[in-house]
Amino acid sequence: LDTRLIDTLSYALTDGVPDCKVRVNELPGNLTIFLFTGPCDDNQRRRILRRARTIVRKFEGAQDCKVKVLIAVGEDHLALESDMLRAIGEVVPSLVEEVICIVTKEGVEAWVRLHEGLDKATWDASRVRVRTAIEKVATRQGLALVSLRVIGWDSPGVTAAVILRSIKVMQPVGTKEIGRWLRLSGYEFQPDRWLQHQVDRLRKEGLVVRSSEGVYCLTPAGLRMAPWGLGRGAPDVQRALGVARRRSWVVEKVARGE
Amino acid sequence: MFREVNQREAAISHKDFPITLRGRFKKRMLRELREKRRDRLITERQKESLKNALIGATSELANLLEYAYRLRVIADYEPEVLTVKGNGGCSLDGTSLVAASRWRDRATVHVGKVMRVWRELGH
Repeated sequence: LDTRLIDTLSYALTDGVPDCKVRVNELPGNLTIFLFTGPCDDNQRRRILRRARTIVRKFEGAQDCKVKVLIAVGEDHLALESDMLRAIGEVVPSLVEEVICIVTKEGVEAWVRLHEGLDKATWDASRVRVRTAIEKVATRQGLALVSLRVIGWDSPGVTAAVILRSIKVMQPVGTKEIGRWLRLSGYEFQPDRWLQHQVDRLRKEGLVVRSSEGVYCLTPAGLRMAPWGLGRGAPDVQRALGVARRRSWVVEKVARGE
Repeated sequence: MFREVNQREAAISHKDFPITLRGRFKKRMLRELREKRRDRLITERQKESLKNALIGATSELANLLEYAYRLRVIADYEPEVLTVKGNGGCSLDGTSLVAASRWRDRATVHVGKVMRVWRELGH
């Protein structure tokens, strides 16, 4: 896209928004715009988003380009971003080109831009290592990593099958952990209330069961329907690996006498 | 992609990729979609949208692979077809080098679409 066009779009988006900073990420046929606004309440934020959507819709219609606008309230966190980028570079060199962080009440939403020419398979192979590296940096700053997404890629949506899979991997598990797992695995963001509704629907259909502590497990019917496979990414394999990892932590703790 | 969707899939030759994509691979994915719908793990609307995305991506990818394979055969075994040097770089059988250099990106986009469907089915 022409840089003048992008500048005009950025100007239109920031016009009237107090203390607004824009960061644009352009990929072929895809534009992601991060708006860092000054302090504003939820209503103002919603208004900015609505206005941005109207502008973007017109732009998309005229330019045949997909535009995504993300709004972050408060300053951008350049130091945190460069720390994360350095941490990722140490673990997986020449994979991530840029990291953009949006800090919310819940924690950090991290967006990464990959080097040109890298495909999904390469990202999938290193996603867990990248996530761990980012999580370590965020934890040092007293923040939790809420989501990790790649700029310019559409995240897959959350279906009941995906929820069943997440329960199969982590059972017994609460809705908050399911939401966190989905966001960190690169699925589309869904609010916890929506997830709660979906899990309740599965419970009514007899696929999951809720314990008195508010955590969910699969019933035999749910287990039959939940996805399965033989590969490294299969839920059973992921669960086994997770349990083994947790056990090794416990063994280390016992050895240290904690 | 092939290995992830069908773990028992043996190695496929380059020539057979488009045939497998349009045949076994697509059938396996559509069966999975039908099963998920039967179990009511996806809605009818989700099923239709995933099905459309899948059919579109597999057919585009198969066409691209077929075309690229045909051109590779010309380049390797048909010396009578000459490369043409023009102002936009060289081209072979009407396909420019610039267009060919975009094949990888196009293939990645289609594979991404198929993998997205696969992940939305819970895999």
